[in-house]
Amino acid sequence: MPRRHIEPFVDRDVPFKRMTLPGFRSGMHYKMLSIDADTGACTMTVQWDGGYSQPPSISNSELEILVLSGSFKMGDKLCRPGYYTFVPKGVSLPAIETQRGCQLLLMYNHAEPSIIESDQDATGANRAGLVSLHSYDDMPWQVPTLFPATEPGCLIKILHFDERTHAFSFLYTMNAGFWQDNISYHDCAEEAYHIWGTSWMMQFGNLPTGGYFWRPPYINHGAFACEKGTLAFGRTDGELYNHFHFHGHTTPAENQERAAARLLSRKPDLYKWVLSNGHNHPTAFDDDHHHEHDHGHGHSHGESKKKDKGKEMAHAVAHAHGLPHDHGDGNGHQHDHGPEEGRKTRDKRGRAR
Amino acid sequence: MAQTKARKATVKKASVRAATKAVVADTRRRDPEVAAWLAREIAEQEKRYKKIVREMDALEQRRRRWIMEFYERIQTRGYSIHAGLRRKVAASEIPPLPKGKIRVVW
Repeated sequence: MPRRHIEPFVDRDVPFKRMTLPGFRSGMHYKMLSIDADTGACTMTVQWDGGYSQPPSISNSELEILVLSGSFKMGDKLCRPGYYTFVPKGVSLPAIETQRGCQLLLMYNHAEPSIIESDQDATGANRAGLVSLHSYDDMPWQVPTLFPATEPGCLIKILHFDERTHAFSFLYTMNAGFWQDNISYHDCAEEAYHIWGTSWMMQFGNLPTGGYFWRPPYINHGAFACEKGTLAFGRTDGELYNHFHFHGHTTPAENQERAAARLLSRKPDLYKWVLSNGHNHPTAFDDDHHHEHDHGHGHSHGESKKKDKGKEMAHAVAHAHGLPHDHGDGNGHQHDHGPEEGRKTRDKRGRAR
Repeated sequence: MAQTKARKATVKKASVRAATKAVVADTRRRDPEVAAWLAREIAEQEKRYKKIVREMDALEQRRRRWIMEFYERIQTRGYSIHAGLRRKVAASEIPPLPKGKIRVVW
Protein backbone atom coordinates (compact mmCIF):
# COMPACT_ATOMS: atom_id res chain seq x y z
CA MET A 1 0.00 0.00 0.00
CA PRO A 2 1.39 3.42 -0.89
CA ARG A 3 1.16 6.40 1.43
CA ARG A 4 -2.11 7.07 3.23
CA HIS A 5 -4.07 10.21 2.54
CA ILE A 6 -2.65 12.33 5.37
CA GLU A 7 -4.54 15.62 5.28
CA PRO A 8 -4.40 17.74 7.28
CA PHE A 9 -1.63 17.04 9.79
CA VAL A 10 0.20 19.64 11.87
CA ASP A 11 3.67 18.66 13.03
CA ARG A 12 3.53 21.21 15.88
CA ASP A 13 1.05 18.86 17.56
CA VAL A 14 3.56 16.03 18.07
CA PRO A 15 7.00 15.85 19.73
CA PHE A 16 10.29 14.99 18.02
CA LYS A 17 11.48 11.38 18.35
CA ARG A 18 15.06 10.19 18.46
CA MET A 19 16.23 8.65 15.18
CA THR A 20 17.17 5.06 15.95
CA LEU A 21 17.81 3.65 12.49
CA PRO A 22 21.26 2.10 12.03
CA GLY A 23 23.93 4.46 10.74
CA PHE A 24 22.34 7.70 11.94
CA ARG A 25 24.25 9.47 14.69
CA SER A 26 22.86 10.71 17.98
CA GLY A 27 21.54 14.25 17.90
CA MET A 28 19.06 13.58 15.10
CA HIS A 29 15.34 13.75 15.91
CA TYR A 30 12.31 13.54 13.63
CA LYS A 31 8.57 13.80 13.24
CA MET A 32 7.15 11.42 10.66
CA LEU A 33 4.78 13.23 8.32
CA SER A 34 3.96 10.36 5.96
CA ILE A 35 5.47 7.03 5.00
CA ASP A 36 4.95 4.53 2.19
CA ALA A 37 4.10 1.19 3.76
CA ASP A 38 5.63 -0.77 0.87
CA THR A 39 8.88 1.01 0.20
CA GLY A 40 9.56 2.97 3.39
CA ALA A 41 9.82 6.22 1.39
CA CYS A 42 8.88 9.01 3.74
CA THR A 43 8.76 12.70 4.55
CA MET A 44 9.93 13.92 7.94
CA THR A 45 10.50 17.13 9.82
CA VAL A 46 14.00 16.66 11.21
CA GLN A 47 15.94 18.40 13.96
CA TRP A 48 19.72 18.19 14.14
CA ASP A 49 20.83 19.26 17.60
CA GLY A 50 23.67 21.75 18.07
CA GLY A 51 26.95 19.89 17.61
CA TYR A 52 25.42 17.23 15.33
CA SER A 53 27.69 16.00 12.54
CA GLN A 54 27.78 13.23 9.99
CA PRO A 55 30.59 12.04 7.73
CA PRO A 56 30.50 12.08 3.91
CA SER A 57 27.73 9.65 3.03
CA ILE A 58 25.47 8.10 0.41
CA SER A 59 21.91 6.78 0.71
CA ASN A 60 20.07 3.87 -0.84
CA SER A 61 17.33 6.32 -1.75
CA GLU A 62 17.05 9.55 -3.67
CA LEU A 63 16.46 12.28 -1.11
CA GLU A 64 15.53 15.95 -0.79
CA ILE A 65 16.47 18.39 1.96
CA LEU A 66 14.96 21.83 2.64
CA VAL A 67 16.31 23.89 5.54
CA LEU A 68 13.45 25.33 7.62
CA SER A 69 15.39 27.08 10.40
CA GLY A 70 18.93 27.28 11.77
CA SER A 71 21.86 26.34 9.57
CA PHE A 72 24.45 23.65 8.88
CA LYS A 73 27.65 23.34 6.90
CA MET A 74 27.76 20.81 4.09
CA GLY A 75 31.34 20.64 2.94
CA ASP A 76 32.24 24.30 2.50
CA LYS A 77 28.66 25.47 1.87
CA LEU A 78 26.61 27.19 4.54
CA CYS A 79 23.03 25.94 4.29
CA ARG A 80 20.60 28.45 5.76
CA PRO A 81 16.77 28.53 5.75
CA GLY A 82 15.52 27.97 2.21
CA TYR A 83 18.57 25.96 1.15
CA TYR A 84 17.36 23.07 -1.00
CA THR A 85 19.24 19.94 -2.04
CA PHE A 86 18.09 17.11 -4.33
CA VAL A 87 20.38 14.09 -4.04
CA PRO A 88 20.05 11.19 -6.51
CA LYS A 89 20.46 7.72 -5.06
CA GLY A 90 24.09 6.83 -4.42
CA VAL A 91 25.49 10.35 -4.84
CA SER A 92 27.90 11.19 -2.03
CA LEU A 93 27.14 14.21 0.15
CA PRO A 94 30.05 15.98 1.87
CA ALA A 95 30.42 15.94 5.64
CA ILE A 96 27.69 17.82 7.48
CA GLU A 97 27.91 19.65 10.79
CA THR A 98 25.78 22.17 12.63
CA GLN A 99 27.02 24.27 15.51
CA ARG A 100 23.72 25.61 16.82
CA GLY A 101 21.28 23.11 15.37
CA CYS A 102 18.68 23.34 12.62
CA GLN A 103 15.35 22.01 11.43
CA LEU A 104 14.75 20.53 7.99
CA LEU A 105 12.27 18.84 5.77
CA LEU A 106 13.90 15.54 4.84
CA MET A 107 12.36 13.36 2.15
CA TYR A 108 13.46 9.86 1.15
CA ASN A 109 11.77 9.19 -2.17
CA HIS A 110 12.26 5.50 -2.91
CA ALA A 111 13.14 3.67 0.30
CA GLU A 112 13.35 4.08 4.07
CA PRO A 113 15.97 6.49 5.46
CA SER A 114 19.49 5.14 5.14
CA ILE A 115 22.99 6.49 5.47
CA ILE A 116 26.21 4.78 4.44
CA GLU A 117 29.55 6.43 5.15
CA SER A 118 31.27 7.08 1.83
CA ASP A 119 33.12 9.96 0.21
CA GLN A 120 32.65 8.43 -3.23
CA ASP A 121 29.55 7.98 -5.37
CA ALA A 122 28.08 4.52 -5.74
CA THR A 123 28.55 2.87 -9.13
CA GLY A 124 26.12 4.33 -11.66
CA ALA A 125 25.03 7.19 -9.41
CA ASN A 126 23.73 10.19 -11.33
CA ARG A 127 25.88 13.05 -10.01
CA ALA A 128 24.62 15.31 -12.81
CA GLY A 129 21.21 15.11 -11.17
CA LEU A 130 22.41 16.72 -7.94
CA VAL A 131 20.63 20.02 -7.28
CA SER A 132 21.84 22.41 -4.61
CA LEU A 133 20.52 25.97 -4.39
CA HIS A 134 19.33 28.69 -2.10
CA SER A 135 15.64 28.91 -2.91
CA TYR A 136 14.99 32.14 -0.97
CA ASP A 137 17.90 34.18 -2.37
CA ASP A 138 18.84 32.68 -5.74
CA MET A 139 15.50 32.47 -7.53
CA PRO A 140 12.70 34.89 -8.43
CA TRP A 141 9.03 34.10 -7.84
CA GLN A 142 7.20 33.09 -10.99
CA VAL A 143 3.58 33.16 -12.09
CA PRO A 144 2.55 29.50 -12.55
CA THR A 145 2.41 28.54 -16.20
CA LEU A 146 -0.05 25.73 -15.65
CA PHE A 147 -3.23 25.74 -17.75
CA PRO A 148 -5.76 26.15 -16.37
CA ALA A 149 -3.99 28.26 -13.77
CA THR A 150 -4.63 29.23 -10.20
CA GLU A 151 -6.06 32.66 -9.41
CA PRO A 152 -3.59 35.58 -9.43
CA GLY A 153 -1.82 35.81 -6.08
CA CYS A 154 -0.27 32.36 -6.07
CA LEU A 155 3.42 32.31 -7.10
CA ILE A 156 5.96 29.50 -7.35
CA LYS A 157 9.69 28.74 -7.53
CA ILE A 158 10.47 25.42 -9.17
CA LEU A 159 13.37 23.78 -7.32
CA HIS A 160 13.52 20.44 -9.09
CA PHE A 161 11.85 19.11 -12.24
CA ASP A 162 11.93 15.53 -13.48
CA GLU A 163 12.05 15.79 -17.25
CA ARG A 164 10.72 12.26 -17.74
CA THR A 165 7.75 12.22 -15.34
CA HIS A 166 7.25 16.00 -14.92
CA ALA A 167 7.20 15.47 -11.16
CA PHE A 168 8.46 18.61 -9.49
CA SER A 169 9.34 20.18 -6.16
CA PHE A 170 8.60 23.83 -5.54
CA LEU A 171 8.11 26.66 -3.14
CA TYR A 172 4.79 28.43 -3.37
CA THR A 173 3.27 31.45 -1.80
CA MET A 174 -0.27 32.68 -1.52
CA ASN A 175 -0.60 36.42 -1.09
CA ALA A 176 -2.65 37.92 1.71
CA GLY A 177 -6.26 37.94 0.56
CA PHE A 178 -5.80 35.11 -1.94
CA TRP A 179 -9.08 33.47 -2.91
CA GLN A 180 -9.88 30.80 -5.49
CA ASP A 181 -13.44 29.65 -6.01
CA ASN A 182 -13.18 26.23 -7.56
CA ILE A 183 -12.50 22.65 -6.55
CA SER A 184 -9.36 21.03 -7.91
CA TYR A 185 -7.89 17.55 -8.28
CA HIS A 186 -4.83 16.20 -10.06
CA ASP A 187 -3.68 13.04 -11.84
CA CYS A 188 -0.70 12.91 -9.51
CA ALA A 189 -0.10 12.73 -5.77
CA GLU A 190 0.60 16.08 -4.15
CA GLU A 191 2.42 16.91 -0.94
CA ALA A 192 2.91 20.22 0.87
CA TYR A 193 4.29 21.65 4.09
CA HIS A 194 3.51 25.11 5.42
CA ILE A 195 6.75 26.86 6.30
CA TRP A 196 4.83 29.88 7.47
CA GLY A 197 1.22 31.03 7.44
CA THR A 198 -2.28 29.66 7.35
CA SER A 199 -4.42 28.81 4.36
CA TRP A 200 -7.93 27.36 4.17
CA MET A 201 -9.53 24.68 2.03
CA MET A 202 -13.23 23.97 1.95
CA GLN A 203 -12.79 20.26 2.70
CA PHE A 204 -10.17 20.44 5.44
CA GLY A 205 -10.42 23.85 7.11
CA ASN A 206 -7.33 25.78 8.16
CA LEU A 207 -3.78 24.54 7.56
CA PRO A 208 -1.43 26.56 9.79
CA THR A 209 2.36 26.88 10.06
CA GLY A 210 3.73 23.34 10.33
CA GLY A 211 0.66 22.04 8.48
CA TYR A 212 1.23 19.16 6.08
CA PHE A 213 -0.58 16.96 3.62
CA TRP A 214 0.13 13.98 1.40
CA ARG A 215 -2.78 13.71 -1.00
CA PRO A 216 -3.13 10.80 -3.44
CA PRO A 217 -4.43 11.52 -6.97
CA TYR A 218 -7.99 12.57 -7.83
CA ILE A 219 -8.98 13.84 -4.37
CA ASN A 220 -11.00 17.06 -4.22
CA HIS A 221 -9.43 20.12 -2.62
CA GLY A 222 -10.63 23.72 -2.70
CA ALA A 223 -12.15 26.26 -2.71
CA PHE A 224 -9.07 28.02 -1.34
CA ALA A 225 -8.43 31.11 0.75
CA CYS A 226 -5.51 32.72 2.52
CA GLU A 227 -6.11 35.73 4.74
CA LYS A 228 -2.59 36.78 5.75
CA GLY A 229 -0.24 35.06 3.30
CA THR A 230 1.51 31.68 3.25
CA LEU A 231 4.94 30.32 2.32
CA ALA A 232 5.01 26.60 1.64
CA PHE A 233 6.98 23.77 0.04
CA GLY A 234 5.22 21.37 -2.32
CA ARG A 235 5.93 18.31 -4.45
CA THR A 236 4.16 16.11 -6.97
CA ASP A 237 5.00 12.66 -8.28
CA GLY A 238 3.91 13.47 -11.83
CA GLU A 239 2.60 16.22 -14.08
CA LEU A 240 0.39 18.66 -12.22
CA TYR A 241 -2.72 19.35 -14.25
CA ASN A 242 -5.45 21.37 -12.57
CA HIS A 243 -8.78 19.63 -13.10
CA PHE A 244 -11.12 22.38 -11.94
CA HIS A 245 -14.81 21.85 -11.22
CA PHE A 246 -17.45 22.95 -8.74
CA HIS A 247 -19.14 19.73 -7.64
CA GLY A 248 -18.72 19.64 -3.87
CA HIS A 249 -18.80 15.91 -3.20
CA THR A 250 -17.40 13.83 -6.05
CA THR A 251 -15.31 10.73 -5.26
CA PRO A 252 -11.77 10.00 -6.51
CA ALA A 253 -13.22 7.31 -8.81
CA GLU A 254 -15.65 9.80 -10.35
CA ASN A 255 -12.88 12.36 -10.71
CA GLN A 256 -10.67 9.82 -12.46
CA GLU A 257 -13.47 9.03 -14.91
CA ARG A 258 -13.93 12.75 -15.52
CA ALA A 259 -10.19 13.16 -16.11
CA ALA A 260 -10.30 10.41 -18.74
CA ALA A 261 -13.31 12.07 -20.37
CA ARG A 262 -11.43 15.36 -20.45
CA LEU A 263 -8.50 13.59 -22.11
CA LEU A 264 -10.91 12.52 -24.83
CA SER A 265 -12.06 16.09 -25.44
CA ARG A 266 -8.58 17.65 -25.27
CA LYS A 267 -6.31 14.99 -26.82
CA PRO A 268 -8.73 12.86 -28.83
CA ASP A 269 -6.15 11.20 -31.07
CA LEU A 270 -3.96 10.19 -28.15
CA TYR A 271 -6.98 8.97 -26.22
CA LYS A 272 -8.13 6.79 -29.11
CA TRP A 273 -4.66 5.42 -29.66
CA VAL A 274 -4.25 4.48 -25.99
CA LEU A 275 -7.69 2.93 -25.95
CA SER A 276 -7.15 0.93 -29.14
CA ASN A 277 -6.59 -2.73 -28.29
CA GLY A 278 -6.46 -1.75 -24.62
CA HIS A 279 -3.00 -0.46 -25.34
CA ASN A 280 -2.16 0.95 -21.96
CA HIS A 281 1.61 0.59 -22.04
CA PRO A 282 2.92 2.97 -24.70
CA THR A 283 6.60 3.39 -25.33
CA ALA A 284 8.71 6.29 -26.57
CA PHE A 285 12.02 6.87 -28.32
CA ASP A 286 13.73 8.06 -25.15
CA ASP A 287 12.10 5.78 -22.58
CA ASP A 288 12.89 2.26 -21.57
CA HIS A 289 10.32 -0.08 -23.07
CA HIS A 290 8.97 -1.96 -20.11
CA HIS A 291 6.06 -4.35 -20.16
CA GLU A 292 4.54 -5.35 -16.87
CA HIS A 293 2.63 -8.24 -18.30
CA ASP A 294 3.34 -11.63 -19.78
CA HIS A 295 2.31 -12.60 -23.28
CA GLY A 296 2.44 -16.24 -22.28
CA HIS A 297 5.26 -17.15 -24.62
CA GLY A 298 8.12 -17.01 -22.22
CA HIS A 299 9.88 -13.74 -22.85
CA SER A 300 9.84 -10.13 -21.84
CA HIS A 301 10.45 -7.14 -24.05
CA GLY A 302 13.61 -6.03 -22.32
CA GLU A 303 15.01 -2.55 -22.55
CA SER A 304 14.88 -0.39 -25.62
CA LYS A 305 18.01 1.70 -25.33
CA LYS A 306 20.12 -0.96 -26.95
CA LYS A 307 17.57 -1.63 -29.64
CA ASP A 308 17.24 -0.15 -33.03
CA LYS A 309 14.82 2.75 -32.70
CA GLY A 310 13.21 2.17 -36.08
CA LYS A 311 12.40 -1.39 -35.18
CA GLU A 312 11.08 -0.21 -31.84
CA MET A 313 8.75 2.27 -33.43
CA ALA A 314 7.52 -0.36 -35.83
CA HIS A 315 6.98 -2.58 -32.83
CA ALA A 316 5.01 0.13 -31.04
CA VAL A 317 2.87 0.75 -34.11
CA ALA A 318 2.30 -2.96 -34.55
CA HIS A 319 1.24 -3.19 -30.93
CA ALA A 320 -1.06 -0.23 -31.30
CA HIS A 321 -2.83 -1.64 -34.29
CA GLY A 322 -2.82 -5.25 -33.22
CA LEU A 323 -0.63 -6.22 -36.17
CA PRO A 324 1.46 -9.39 -36.31
CA HIS A 325 5.01 -8.73 -35.10
CA ASP A 326 7.91 -10.30 -33.30
CA HIS A 327 10.25 -9.22 -30.54
CA GLY A 328 13.49 -10.03 -32.28
CA ASP A 329 13.43 -13.63 -31.21
CA GLY A 330 11.76 -14.83 -34.39
CA ASN A 331 8.57 -15.68 -32.54
CA GLY A 332 6.13 -13.73 -34.65
CA HIS A 333 2.70 -13.40 -33.14
CA GLN A 334 -0.40 -11.30 -32.94
CA HIS A 335 -1.93 -10.41 -29.65
CA ASP A 336 -4.68 -8.18 -28.44
CA HIS A 337 -4.63 -6.68 -25.00
CA GLY A 338 -8.33 -6.13 -25.44
CA PRO A 339 -10.56 -3.86 -23.42
CA GLU A 340 -11.25 -6.61 -20.88
CA GLU A 341 -7.59 -7.18 -20.18
CA GLY A 342 -6.55 -3.57 -20.45
CA ARG A 343 -9.36 -2.15 -18.39
CA LYS A 344 -8.42 -1.31 -14.84
CA THR A 345 -10.40 -2.77 -11.96
CA ARG A 346 -11.24 -0.79 -8.88
CA ASP A 347 -10.64 -1.50 -5.25
CA LYS A 348 -13.03 -0.84 -2.37
CA ARG A 349 -11.96 2.78 -2.23
CA GLY A 350 -12.87 3.19 -5.87
CA ARG A 351 -9.29 3.68 -7.02
CA ALA A 352 -8.02 2.10 -10.19
CA ARG A 353 -5.51 -0.72 -9.77
CA MET B 1 -8.48 0.05 34.89
CA ALA B 2 -5.67 -2.50 34.77
CA GLN B 3 -7.74 -4.62 32.37
CA THR B 4 -8.28 -1.62 30.10
CA LYS B 5 -4.56 -0.91 30.04
CA ALA B 6 -3.79 -4.53 29.28
CA ARG B 7 -6.37 -4.57 26.49
CA LYS B 8 -4.91 -1.38 25.00
CA ALA B 9 -1.42 -2.88 25.14
CA THR B 10 -2.68 -6.02 23.39
CA VAL B 11 -4.37 -3.95 20.68
CA LYS B 12 -1.17 -1.93 20.22
CA LYS B 13 0.95 -5.05 19.89
CA ALA B 14 -1.57 -6.56 17.48
CA SER B 15 -1.54 -3.47 15.28
CA VAL B 16 2.25 -3.46 15.22
CA ARG B 17 2.21 -7.17 14.36
CA ALA B 18 -0.29 -6.56 11.57
CA ALA B 19 1.78 -3.73 10.19
CA THR B 20 4.91 -5.87 10.45
CA LYS B 21 3.19 -8.62 8.51
CA ALA B 22 2.10 -6.13 5.87
CA VAL B 23 5.67 -5.19 5.06
CA VAL B 24 7.23 -8.63 5.35
CA ALA B 25 7.09 -9.15 1.61
CA ASP B 26 9.18 -6.05 1.07
CA THR B 27 11.44 -6.38 4.07
CA ARG B 28 12.84 -9.85 3.59
CA ARG B 29 16.22 -8.36 2.89
CA ARG B 30 15.86 -5.55 5.41
CA ASP B 31 17.83 -5.49 8.60
CA PRO B 32 15.45 -6.63 11.40
CA GLU B 33 16.09 -3.37 13.22
CA VAL B 34 15.02 -1.41 10.13
CA ALA B 35 11.98 -3.65 9.58
CA ALA B 36 10.88 -3.11 13.19
CA TRP B 37 11.31 0.66 12.85
CA LEU B 38 9.27 0.63 9.67
CA ALA B 39 6.53 -1.44 11.28
CA ARG B 40 6.29 1.00 14.19
CA GLU B 41 6.09 3.98 11.86
CA ILE B 42 3.42 2.35 9.71
CA ALA B 43 1.36 1.48 12.79
CA GLU B 44 1.66 5.06 14.01
CA GLN B 45 0.63 6.37 10.60
CA GLU B 46 -2.49 4.19 10.76
CA LYS B 47 -3.38 5.78 14.10
CA ARG B 48 -2.66 9.23 12.69
CA TYR B 49 -4.85 8.51 9.66
CA LYS B 50 -7.77 7.38 11.83
CA LYS B 51 -7.44 10.46 14.00
CA ILE B 52 -7.53 12.67 10.89
CA VAL B 53 -10.66 10.87 9.66
CA ARG B 54 -12.36 11.47 13.02
CA GLU B 55 -11.37 15.14 13.03
CA MET B 56 -12.55 15.65 9.46
CA ASP B 57 -15.84 13.88 10.20
CA ALA B 58 -16.33 16.31 13.06
CA LEU B 59 -16.11 19.20 10.57
CA GLU B 60 -19.07 17.86 8.57
CA GLN B 61 -21.67 20.48 9.55
CA ARG B 62 -19.29 23.41 9.05
CA ARG B 63 -18.14 21.93 5.75
CA ARG B 64 -21.73 21.67 4.48
CA ARG B 65 -22.17 25.34 5.31
CA TRP B 66 -18.90 26.19 3.52
CA ILE B 67 -20.05 24.31 0.42
CA MET B 68 -23.42 26.11 0.44
CA GLU B 69 -21.58 29.44 0.69
CA PHE B 70 -19.30 28.35 -2.17
CA TYR B 71 -22.34 27.47 -4.31
CA GLU B 72 -23.76 30.91 -3.57
CA ARG B 73 -20.52 32.68 -4.54
CA ILE B 74 -20.06 30.84 -7.84
CA GLN B 75 -23.58 31.89 -8.86
CA THR B 76 -22.94 35.54 -8.03
CA ARG B 77 -19.23 36.25 -8.27
CA GLY B 78 -18.35 33.33 -10.52
CA TYR B 79 -16.39 30.09 -10.60
CA SER B 80 -12.60 30.33 -11.22
CA ILE B 81 -11.96 28.68 -14.59
CA HIS B 82 -8.42 29.94 -15.33
CA ALA B 83 -6.19 32.56 -13.71
CA GLY B 84 -8.46 35.59 -13.17
CA LEU B 85 -11.20 34.34 -15.51
CA ARG B 86 -14.55 33.47 -13.96
CA ARG B 87 -17.88 32.14 -15.11
CA LYS B 88 -21.17 32.58 -13.32
CA VAL B 89 -22.79 29.22 -12.73
CA ALA B 90 -26.53 28.81 -13.28
CA ALA B 91 -28.63 27.55 -10.39
CA SER B 92 -29.58 24.53 -12.50
CA GLU B 93 -25.89 23.49 -12.64
CA ILE B 94 -25.50 23.34 -8.86
CA PRO B 95 -25.54 19.75 -7.63
CA PRO B 96 -27.71 19.02 -4.58
CA LEU B 97 -25.82 18.11 -1.43
CA PRO B 98 -26.09 14.46 -0.49
CA LYS B 99 -28.07 13.47 2.59
CA GLY B 100 -25.23 11.33 3.85
CA LYS B 101 -21.75 12.29 4.97
CA ILE B 102 -19.45 14.07 2.53
CA ARG B 103 -16.24 12.09 2.58
CA VAL B 104 -13.04 14.11 2.19
CA VAL B 105 -10.29 11.76 3.45
CA TRP B 106 -9.69 8.66 1.28
